[in-house]
Amino acid sequence: VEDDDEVLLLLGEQLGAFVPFVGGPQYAALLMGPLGVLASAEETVVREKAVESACTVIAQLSPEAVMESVVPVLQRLTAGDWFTARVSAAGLFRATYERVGDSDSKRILRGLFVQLASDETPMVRRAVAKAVGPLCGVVEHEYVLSDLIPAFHTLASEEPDSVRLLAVEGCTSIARVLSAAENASLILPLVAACARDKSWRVRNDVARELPALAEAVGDSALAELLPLFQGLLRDPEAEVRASAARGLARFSKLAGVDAFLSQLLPAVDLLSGTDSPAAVKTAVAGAVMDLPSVLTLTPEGCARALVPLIDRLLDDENNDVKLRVLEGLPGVAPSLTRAYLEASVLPVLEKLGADPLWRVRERVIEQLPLLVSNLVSSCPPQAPPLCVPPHPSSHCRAV
Amino acid sequence: VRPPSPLFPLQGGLNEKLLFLFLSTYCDQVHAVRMAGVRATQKLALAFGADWVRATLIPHLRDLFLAQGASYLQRVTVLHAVRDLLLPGVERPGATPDSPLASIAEDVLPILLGALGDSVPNVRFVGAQALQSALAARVYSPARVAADILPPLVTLSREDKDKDVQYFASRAVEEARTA
Repeated sequence: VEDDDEVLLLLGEQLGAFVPFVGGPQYAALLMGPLGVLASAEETVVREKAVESACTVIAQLSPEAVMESVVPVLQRLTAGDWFTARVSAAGLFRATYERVGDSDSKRILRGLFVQLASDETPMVRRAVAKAVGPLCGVVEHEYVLSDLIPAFHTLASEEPDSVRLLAVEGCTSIARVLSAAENASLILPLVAACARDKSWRVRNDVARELPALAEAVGDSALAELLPLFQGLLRDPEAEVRASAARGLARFSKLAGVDAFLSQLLPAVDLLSGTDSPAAVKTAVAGAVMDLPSVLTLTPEGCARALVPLIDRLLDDENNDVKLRVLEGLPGVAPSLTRAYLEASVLPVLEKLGADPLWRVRERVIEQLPLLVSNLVSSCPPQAPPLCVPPHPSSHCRAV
Repeated sequence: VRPPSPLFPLQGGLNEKLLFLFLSTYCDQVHAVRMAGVRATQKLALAFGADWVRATLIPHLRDLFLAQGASYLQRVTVLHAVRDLLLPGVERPGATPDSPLASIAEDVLPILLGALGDSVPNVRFVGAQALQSALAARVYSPARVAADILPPLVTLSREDKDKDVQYFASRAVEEARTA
């Protein structure tokens, strides 16, 4: 009843830790009353805290208590006049479903969830899209297929794009609970559609999510995902290309060396070209430097595939790109020859060490010991003899 | 005849260009870069070991400290690096436990004592601070402390024109006496 949101926020937060003070789990159901009220508040942060706390409380309740006191609250919230209550309801389904025992309550809960999925307010459908992934982890397999997937499909293909966006993120959690065949028929077409979505934000989300999704669906779907990933690396929108590039190492690990060399490398090559935006090239630089740790490249393969890329990126006009390469160099150095390091890396190191931007100089000097100590550990016992240069400090003049 | 210098001569140390790059951070205009240089000093000392520190690093630090016309900030940076070198654990792993640190400590002592006579108060008190931390780490023998380190610190703690110098010198004196 208090009208100060700050107070409500703290109240919602505190109630989550209140179980011991009301007499332990057997009385904790009492807390659902006030939490239910807070969950229908107008202010978003208050509702989010209340939902979070309610989930903590629900996890400590007995199945009977959940049936008696949580399911009615959920029913009330789902039927709420204000969309705020219905948004909160979506966040409570997983915790509740996990705790109820009887099939009747479960059926009621699934019904409520499906009903919310076709809510008239986009905000509610977004909340449902966000909740569907986690919920799939606890709902019985047959009902995932019969109830949740159809609802999910509707969400993933509807306007506005903000609903589809969240649905993409749900794909990965859903894919984890489905079999390979079910993924192939139910999830992959959806992903393929989203990867070609007209909204770049949706494609961007697919680009971000694809490595995790590929891990979830397993090897069988790689053949289908590889062209999608290739397409995203060549997306018209730079943001999407950068997101895909960030996942390059993780995706290449699954795809393997051969697929990387034959199918992904050409796209990566394009991305590191001069007319590519700096943000994309920075992402590529990070990914390229991670590749040797995830792919088993032969020294020749490394020289053929990676060195030209590293070369071009070190030669880039943008400092962030070069710094990213330098940062990754300690990990890559063992697969590069010393002659290469001397001819290509040293000049860049020197040039950046004298950069007018102090942050660049700071990063270079931070990288220096890393580069050196990495080579100390990977160096053969017959190291070159000691060399004492003339004192460079005489060149170093005061400011 | 000097052998051709490879990029990272590892057991030898940094090659000329990288050494120059590294040392030039000591006279950088920006504090953060100088401090990054100090941190790099510690790491390079760990990577190359006590021989490199003695043969290459310390002579350069001494030159930077004595450089004519250099900013006092350069001397302060050297003192920070020296202080960190005397922290335990800088010896190369596997080296004999007694020798390297003791000998490094002797090598840098002229720098630390030189700082106490500097014309800039900041250099004097950072020198006193570095000595205090060296005394706390017990890197100098009691005889060395009594003969060379304590007297100038006592003088500073009583007679320096600058209050901060007096304060940090007396802290170092206390440290020496509790040792």
